[in-house]
Amino acid sequence: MKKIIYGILLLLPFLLPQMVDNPYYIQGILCRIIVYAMLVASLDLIVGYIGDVSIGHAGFFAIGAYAVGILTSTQELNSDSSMTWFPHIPFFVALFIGVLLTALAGFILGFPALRLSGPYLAVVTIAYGLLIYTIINEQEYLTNGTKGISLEPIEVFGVKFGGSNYLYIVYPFLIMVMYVIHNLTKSYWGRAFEAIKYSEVAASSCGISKSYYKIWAFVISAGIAGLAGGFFSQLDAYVAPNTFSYNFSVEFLIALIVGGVQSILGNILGASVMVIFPDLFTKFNDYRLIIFGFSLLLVLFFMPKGLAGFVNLIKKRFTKKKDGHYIEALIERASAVKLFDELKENNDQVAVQLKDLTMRFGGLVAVNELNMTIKKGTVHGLIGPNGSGKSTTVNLLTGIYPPAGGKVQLFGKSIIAESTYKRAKLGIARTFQNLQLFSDMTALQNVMVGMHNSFTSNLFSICFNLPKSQKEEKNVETKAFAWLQFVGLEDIAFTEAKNLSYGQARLLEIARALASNPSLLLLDEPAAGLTAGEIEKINILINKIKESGISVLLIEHHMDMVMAVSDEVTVLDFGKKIAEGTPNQIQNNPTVITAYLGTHETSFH
Amino acid sequence: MEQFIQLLISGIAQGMIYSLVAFGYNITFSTSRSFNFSHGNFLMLGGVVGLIFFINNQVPFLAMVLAVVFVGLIMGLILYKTSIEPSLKSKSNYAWILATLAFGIILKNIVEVFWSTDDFRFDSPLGNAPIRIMGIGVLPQEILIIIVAICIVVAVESFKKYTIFGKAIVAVSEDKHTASLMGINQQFVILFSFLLSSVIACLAGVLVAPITMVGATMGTVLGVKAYAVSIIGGLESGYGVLLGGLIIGLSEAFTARYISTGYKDAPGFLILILVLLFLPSGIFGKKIFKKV
Amino acid sequence: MKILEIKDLVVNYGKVAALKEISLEIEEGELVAVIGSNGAGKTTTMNTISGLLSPTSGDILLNGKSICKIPAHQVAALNISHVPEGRKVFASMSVKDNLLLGAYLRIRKGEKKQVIADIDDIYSIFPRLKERENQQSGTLSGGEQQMLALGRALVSKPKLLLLDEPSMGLAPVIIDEVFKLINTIKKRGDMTIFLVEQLAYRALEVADRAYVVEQGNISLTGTGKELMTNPEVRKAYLGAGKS
Repeated sequence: MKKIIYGILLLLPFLLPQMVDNPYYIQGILCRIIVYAMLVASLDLIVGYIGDVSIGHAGFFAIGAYAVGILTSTQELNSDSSMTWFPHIPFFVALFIGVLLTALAGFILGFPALRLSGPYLAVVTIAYGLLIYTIINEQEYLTNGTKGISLEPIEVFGVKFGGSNYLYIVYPFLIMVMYVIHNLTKSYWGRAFEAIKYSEVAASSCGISKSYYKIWAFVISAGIAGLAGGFFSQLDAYVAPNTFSYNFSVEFLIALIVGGVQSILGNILGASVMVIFPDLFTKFNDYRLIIFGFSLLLVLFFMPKGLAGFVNLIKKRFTKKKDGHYIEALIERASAVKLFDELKENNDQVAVQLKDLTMRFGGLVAVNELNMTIKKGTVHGLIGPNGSGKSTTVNLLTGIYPPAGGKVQLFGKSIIAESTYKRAKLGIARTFQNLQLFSDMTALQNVMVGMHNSFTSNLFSICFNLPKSQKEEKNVETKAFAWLQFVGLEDIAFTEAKNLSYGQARLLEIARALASNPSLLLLDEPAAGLTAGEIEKINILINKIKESGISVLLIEHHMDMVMAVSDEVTVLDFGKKIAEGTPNQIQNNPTVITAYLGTHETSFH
Repeated sequence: MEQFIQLLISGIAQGMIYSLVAFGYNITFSTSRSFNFSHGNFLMLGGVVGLIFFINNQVPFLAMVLAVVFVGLIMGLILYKTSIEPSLKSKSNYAWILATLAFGIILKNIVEVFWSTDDFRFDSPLGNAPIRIMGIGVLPQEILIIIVAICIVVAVESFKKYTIFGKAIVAVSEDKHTASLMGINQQFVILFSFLLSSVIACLAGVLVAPITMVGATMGTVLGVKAYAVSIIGGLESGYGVLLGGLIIGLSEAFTARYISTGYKDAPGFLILILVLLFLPSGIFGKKIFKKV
Repeated sequence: MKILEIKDLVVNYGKVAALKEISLEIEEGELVAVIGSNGAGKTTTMNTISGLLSPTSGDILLNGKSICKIPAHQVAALNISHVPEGRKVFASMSVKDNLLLGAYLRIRKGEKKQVIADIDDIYSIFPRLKERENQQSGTLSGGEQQMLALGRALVSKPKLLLLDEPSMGLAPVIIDEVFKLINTIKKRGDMTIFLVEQLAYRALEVADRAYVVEQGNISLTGTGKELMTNPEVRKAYLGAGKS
């Protein structure tokens, strides 16, 4: 039944024109919606999935359109133009070149996007779009300037696809683009995008390289925008620079938001509104932008998921939750999983060694020549009063700050030059003092992000959902489920992280960290805010982790917990190590007591 | 030589207009981490209101300025209530960008529908005849723009430095929680900053009107270039926008004269991208340490 | 007369319970301390009193009237002055401007002349601030910043002074100095002081009474002198040990 409905929906663009008196008119509109939907979808990759605002996509669109325009047009069609170069190559070759060129343009924009965010990046995208616009306007010998380029219709095997039958060319491409985007965003790549959007620090501590994925996102998005632009050039068989203005970018942004981000349905709805609206209400066409503006404001504040969110709400009432069979099969498969991989044969008894580690912020010495050794397979407590340098030490260990001096060694190898995500790959996993879960993903997906580095499928295999990629996804899902079982969260595997209780969220972070198969686990205040019962659970968990051979660095204020589970404790004060020893030694160490409780000097009574 | 100086002065004048618009971004960004992405349309509104009162209805200049200020205040209030306040409450960190874009589109379309889509001349009250300073002919309106723009920036910066309410604005920019412990109503301060920035944009519209034309589209490009100005100068540095304006205004004037009119916008945007890549907080911006 | 009364206060950050039903009261003119290890909920208590956080349940009464639904800037108008954790001086502004902002509400009421005189009075307690009057306060040392934060709170002429971790990040010698100053302020006798502090013995020395908090609950209470010798205090900080 479901398949039939989808089939009809899929064929709708071909059926619809047959049902009306004026098929040419409908076909024309459909072609435009299709081209615009591709552009909206490309924008969605940046705005919806990566979380940056781009107001320059008209620029990519223009590059695609002009590549096709310049490369396919002829002297005869542009007889009185200032153009001098007419390669006159076949449409699809030109289209391919156009996509490559736009992908390159996206690659270039990706670099500022790494360092900038929010309004800064939005402004750069505007500038970028305007620069492209300016170049098109000015390079008259190439683009014919403001007068634009006229194109001839596409010809494939002698059949001309101009006007009404153009639908048969563009529609299959739309389906392909949407299929690729769907596969991509549902894969580990999509989860990496979302992880970066939600928390760069958490993403990199799961081993995700922000630069790699962000630049790729810009490349893919630009490439799709270029494809849409190439098809656009054939809609009117004419391209002119005025189309690709700043306002055009803004209108597409509105279409995206009104339709609904992170949704293919939303992309299509947004594009449809943009195309159909002015045609349907020609009377109100003058007020078009007023109405657009108001709908954007309304959607932003009252319907954050856009029109698609509204449709999904209705759809939800008619569909069931994840069925029991799926979960049963998952449990079945998970029972065969062996969780802790054999730690590599390693006679080294020292997991981590910090040597003279120093960190300064301006004049403040946050960590001062710290020496510390974490032995393999032990729990090492790190405590100290507020501002004593514990968090800084964690940030130095995970590579978030570059130290002012000193060494960090993991199993005898210096890792000081490695960035955060590389250290995660090398076996350092962590949890966060302020929870950093990916809140819109389910618990299971969160753990799967933790397993990011166990994926090996390449981009192509993902985009077309090849068997290798499917199998890998299934295996990782199974193992992620087993990790949830390990921490006792299997019942909420399909619950979104934002809906978990605080205690569950803490456990989920531990599961996500363990899933990366670390040799060192940093627990940053795992007991904060938990009840006595929940703390007891974590204590048991820490002991199990230790037995598996993983070393644990525990930063915690809850002393009963630190003293109960630690093999050794280091105490920091003012960035310096003031004591080290067994829990018992630490509790009775006078220096530690003074650091925590102050001195007894009655200096002024 | 004379031509060079004339070019210099019109470049500076154009730059000062950008500075005024950019100054508006700056004022609200420091208090609320957001600004009006359609600020250029507020400038347009100032120009249109000025035209209606001063040119069409022959209202005295000063009365017209008061009317423009009043319109700026009202529009600032509406912008704050419909776009900024709900955005700051929402969880999305780019809602304000989209909301203010939407607001600007509505504003521009309203002007087009209910007023006109044409561009109109706005004759300078100082006349169009160049005055001669040390033998060089200069347009009086350009001199007026430069003086008024600098005065506005200096006045606002002094207000922030020397009055207790101005200091409260700085305090909110720096740490809104601690500011509220001093008894400062941060919401009011943010609203105030939006009112101030809207009024300045509307005034800039009246100032620039005689050297451009007045019409619904006059603000779009100006607003966009002012982003570049504010970011080059540093979004949080008041006087930085003057320098940013100079850089963009002059690069534009000289490119138009010596390279090509069509390319006049290009150097400004290139400088913007370069500044962002190498000095992300602008030439005068403060370094911000992000703690994890 | 009770100036401040906290009744069954529960505060959550999102889903985390930071305070689990805390009750305490402060008589007018007292210096009451809340001590406990970090993460125990001390700063949360302070921020809830001054209106930066709103409680999930429970109530805070100032002179018998509930203040827990009032935003921070209006709480400040009720003669409560809060010296926040980590001092939070306005770093880009001069020492003098910081002090003027402390008296923001008074200046807006037209008491500018009186405020100028009071700032001179503050300078007599903290002569170092006078020397650095025009210096950017971000460039002051930690101890000087703590003095500035204290001074900034005092110029508002509070009835109730909230002091959050005045020792944080300061060297022991400077901590001595800061606590001497707190003692001086206390001895002037014109305000009630509510002190939150990790360094238990320092706080107990100056406090009339104190509460010990542990994991969001009050575990002990007594006079400063009593608690000074109570071994339970140490356990609250360093744990009970392996059992």
